[in-house]
Amino acid sequence: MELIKNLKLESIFVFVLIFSVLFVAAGSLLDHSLTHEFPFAYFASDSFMDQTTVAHVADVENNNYYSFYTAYGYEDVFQSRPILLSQTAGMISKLFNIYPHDAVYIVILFSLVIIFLLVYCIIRRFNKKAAMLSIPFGLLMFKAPFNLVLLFGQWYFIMGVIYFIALLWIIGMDFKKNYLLLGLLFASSVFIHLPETFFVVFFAPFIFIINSLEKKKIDWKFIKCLIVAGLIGIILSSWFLFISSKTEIPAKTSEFEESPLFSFTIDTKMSARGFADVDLSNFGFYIIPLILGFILFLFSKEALKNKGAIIGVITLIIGFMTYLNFEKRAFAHRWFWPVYFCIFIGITLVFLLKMIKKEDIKLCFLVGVIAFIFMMFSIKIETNPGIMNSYDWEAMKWTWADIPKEKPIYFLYGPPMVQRDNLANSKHIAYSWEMDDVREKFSRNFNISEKFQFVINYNANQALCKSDKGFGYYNKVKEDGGVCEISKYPLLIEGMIKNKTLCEIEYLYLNYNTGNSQIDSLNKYISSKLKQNQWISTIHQNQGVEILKNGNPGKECEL
Amino acid sequence: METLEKNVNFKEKIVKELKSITIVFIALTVIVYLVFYKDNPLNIIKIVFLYFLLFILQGYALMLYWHKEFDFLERLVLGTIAGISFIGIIGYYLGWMGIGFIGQVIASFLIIGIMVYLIIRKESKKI
Repeated sequence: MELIKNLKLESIFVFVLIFSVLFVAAGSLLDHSLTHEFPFAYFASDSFMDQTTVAHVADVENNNYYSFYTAYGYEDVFQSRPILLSQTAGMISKLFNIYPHDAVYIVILFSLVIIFLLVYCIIRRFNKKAAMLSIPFGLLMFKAPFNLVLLFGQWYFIMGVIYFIALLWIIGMDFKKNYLLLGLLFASSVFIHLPETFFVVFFAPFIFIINSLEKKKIDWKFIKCLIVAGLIGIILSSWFLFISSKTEIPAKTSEFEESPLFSFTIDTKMSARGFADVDLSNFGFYIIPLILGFILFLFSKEALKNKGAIIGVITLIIGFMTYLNFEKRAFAHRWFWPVYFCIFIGITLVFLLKMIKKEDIKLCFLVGVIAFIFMMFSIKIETNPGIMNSYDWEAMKWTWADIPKEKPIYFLYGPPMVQRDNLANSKHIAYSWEMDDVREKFSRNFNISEKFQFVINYNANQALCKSDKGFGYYNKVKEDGGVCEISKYPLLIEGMIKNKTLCEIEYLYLNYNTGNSQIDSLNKYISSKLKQNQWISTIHQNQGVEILKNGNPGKECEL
Repeated sequence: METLEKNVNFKEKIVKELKSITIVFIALTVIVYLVFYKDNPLNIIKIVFLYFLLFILQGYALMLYWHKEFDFLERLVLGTIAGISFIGIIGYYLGWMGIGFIGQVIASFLIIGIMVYLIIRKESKKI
């Protein structure tokens, strides 16, 4: 009877948990609606990259190649970005006719719920009361600056964290054919975010030592299970690993060339990369119970059994591996510190309740629910439609069918090019006015008949290409094993930057909603001057956007 | 006798858990609607149902193999993770074979159906 009562109590608690996570993470942010007419609450290029990738996957129903409009016009450049998000969101989008931009948010929001439930389950295995008292404080991750992980579109990482936590939890567990589940999770981890796989492998010996210490003998089963699971993982992800080994892996590891791993850099500032720094001081007042809980854990007799706290320690170490030059891969875990560390606050609260001898499950439930309510009222991400707006979305959607697929679109300065991956929403090869050229031209009185510098929008940084004879579009590329490292190949670079006069452009996209009246006026002036030439006309217009078509591109025109 | 009881318990457990899963589905739909109350309720039902069908239900079925090792909540959570993995990985490779999303979903349901059948058969053989 008591068990049933507890179960019911726990069911209510779990529902409160799910509600709180969804409410705090996205209630206000998405204006209390899961579906939107245009990409809502998209703030960063990374978000648009994921969204446009999902849109492409939903269109073609597979993850084989990049869309041609993000791969310099090539239709057979192998997709090397993590595929699990685009595969699942693309499926949701296509099968039930939901916009890809909404499908992405649906997958990510449910992923956040899964992370919270997962951490709850891990702590609960050790101590249910501690779990109920801990998990509400995980909601601190939706407070600035932790919430940048959600707002800046670090969504592959969010999904990667699911597998990272699940693997760290399962890895030391002894149950029948555990290698099957581990192998599946290992493969998924490769498919969604490789750095998290790396961290799991890196810390596996640490868990092995803890397991052996706990069992007071060397845990050989652990090693056997890890080898078999690793093999299953490699087999399941072999094709994707092959593609990654030619593209993303060399690209990411080359980031370390200038300052190698373990070079003990002391610069952990991420502001240079556009992210706000995150450190322990961001916990504010909560740092006190957190440190207290950490100390209590260290001196606890059952410390080795407390997997939740062990994961907390591992992620604390990872967070400081920025000093070993693991940079953003290590830094990213700091965004999830509130979720990883909430166990320590729970330990403190259990300790305090024990001191007053009132640590029964009902009280823990009540305190947990109150903590959830407090967090819901104290943390709020304001509604913000983000970079996209209804005018640009309407105009971009219009281009899908009404501008021939092979024709590039040139964007003058406007909201879409602020975060360049947004341009892929036009589903055409997109060139945007190079920002340095914008600044240079605005620093002087420039003439609109001058050449403008445009740069292509692309996703496929490291492109593994296919030709009739194998991999590679160019001999030189083929010699290098099929990796088209864009920076090395002038032919590709030539196509990436174009210096053109406005008269040479066939499809020109102009914004009148830039929020800067000077630029709006300039765009209107350019439009009126161009349209003085009979062969240039408006082919689409709404209140914020105008698209011009030049019927005779390259012909000298009056400006 | 004890094995027989265990087997009966397994089937009873599945029936009982399917009821719980229905409750979870209803509760999740209500929760999602409460948070996203400005959305059309039919949209919410559609989204939750699809997510349930694709990931939670498939994952739950996958995790039946470990029904003794993990409790219901753990299996539901780990199952959802495994469900995302399973359909994602199968979908990726079937995509390379030119099979679209509907084919990918049918294939993953078929494979999981066979797995569930094998698990139940294995439990029956114990009698």
